Amino acid sequence: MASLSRRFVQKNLSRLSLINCGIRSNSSFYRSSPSLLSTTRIQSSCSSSSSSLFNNQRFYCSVNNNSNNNNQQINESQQQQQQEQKQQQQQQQEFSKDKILESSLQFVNLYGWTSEAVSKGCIEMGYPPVTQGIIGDNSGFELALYFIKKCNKELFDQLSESDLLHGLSKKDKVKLAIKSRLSMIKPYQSRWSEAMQLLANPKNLQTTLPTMQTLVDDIWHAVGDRSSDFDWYAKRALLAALYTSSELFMLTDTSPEHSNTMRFVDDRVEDLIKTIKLKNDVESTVSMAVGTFLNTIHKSK
Amino acid sequence: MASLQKVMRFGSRSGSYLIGSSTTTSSNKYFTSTTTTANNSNTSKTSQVDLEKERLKRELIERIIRVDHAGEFGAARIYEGQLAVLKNTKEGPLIREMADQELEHQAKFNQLIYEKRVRPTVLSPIWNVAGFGLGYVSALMGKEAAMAVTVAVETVISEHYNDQLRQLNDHQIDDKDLKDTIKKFRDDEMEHMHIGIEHDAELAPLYKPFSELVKVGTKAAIWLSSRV
Repeated sequence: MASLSRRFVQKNLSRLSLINCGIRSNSSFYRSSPSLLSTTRIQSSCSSSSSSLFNNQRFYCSVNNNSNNNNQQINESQQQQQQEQKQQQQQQQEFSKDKILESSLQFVNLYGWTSEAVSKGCIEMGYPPVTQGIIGDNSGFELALYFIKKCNKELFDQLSESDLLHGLSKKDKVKLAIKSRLSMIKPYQSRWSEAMQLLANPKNLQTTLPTMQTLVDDIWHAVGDRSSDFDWYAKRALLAALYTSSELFMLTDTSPEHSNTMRFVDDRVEDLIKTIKLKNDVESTVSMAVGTFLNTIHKSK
Repeated sequence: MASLQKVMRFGSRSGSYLIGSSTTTSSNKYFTSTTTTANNSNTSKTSQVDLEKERLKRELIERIIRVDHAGEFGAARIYEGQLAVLKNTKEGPLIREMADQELEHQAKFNQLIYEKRVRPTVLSPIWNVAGFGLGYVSALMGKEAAMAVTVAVETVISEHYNDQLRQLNDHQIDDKDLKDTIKKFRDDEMEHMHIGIEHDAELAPLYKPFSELVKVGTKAAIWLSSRV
């Protein structure tokens, strides 16, 4: 019996030394190691009687449990701190990203929607040019994406807060919204074709399509459109097409104050309203025709 | 600090193993490695978990409003289809009343779609035709069959409203307006069901298989509308 328990303790000792090797790099281990070591010492000294061995085990466990609880509490508070720090870091990173992109916008007219513009923006902010690496591999595209997202947000704020749209007809509201969105691109008009090319790249479509969806959804919401059937989709698709074509028109527009583009927008919005009206007319005509047809069948019975 | 906790857990675990038999160190190593990964993921993902929860809640609300809007629209179309046949019969005014109530419900969900900016279902043209067709055909089969359709559809819809209320509670969404709306509409649909039963719905030819068929169709429509 004695030899068996001795072997047992030996095995245990070797296991403890194994842990010791594994966690040596962490200084906090040493704080707890004396208690562990003392228990093993007690174990080895009274290895001859099995009953005392069991007592020691109980002691061994209880020590561990107590320190476990304390440590868990400390751990939890530390984890919370770490979380807060991480969140702050993330927010800061997002914030600095936006700041860098914002400052890069002023170099777009010189360098285009490229990584050069972003690195110039980094220098302007007082960072080394390599900092543009945090924007991502495709920093030119990220710059363009940041710009359109910013414009969408601005447009939504404009449309929702002020009395800008008050008292206008639906048609005029749409016209106004499209025109004010187009005017946001004016400062970068000479370089906008490059941005359009980046945004329309099939590789990037997955990220750019939602932004277009936000834009048209915001406009229809601000206009106060309450359609909830298939019109909902038709209106959004038509408006997206309308907006993209007006952007394309604006690229080659050299008239003062873009008056040609504005006229183009006016005409296309008229077309849009007409198309929707025509669709609804056709629908109601068809349903009326079906109704009369069913009625005649019913009566003839 | 995390590793300290790890060691402590390891200690208590190996202590308990002492009484049993000698376990191999490899299994203990495995145990410690799993605790480390759990700790790491806890710290880095907590902020994401909140975001994920918010996203799920939003998705649930969107689904509920979308499918309810589609359901009320479909129900209104069924009554329209029935009215096209039964307008001048004894049941005409009764069906008219129920149809008006459905239109009221539909208007409420229209408003919710606009306010909460939910995408309506793409399938509304299909429900338009299918609902009208179902109402028309069942009415041609006789007023009992029309009432059987009403009973089957309203049963499924009111059950579905109850499910939604349960889901809202499970996800701890405190949207009083939405909950009250659903509760009120569920009671209305139950009332329609009772009206149907009172007007001899169960006397329709082949009542059982017919109503089961309509129920399955309605459930399929609900499944589709909440997603597409």
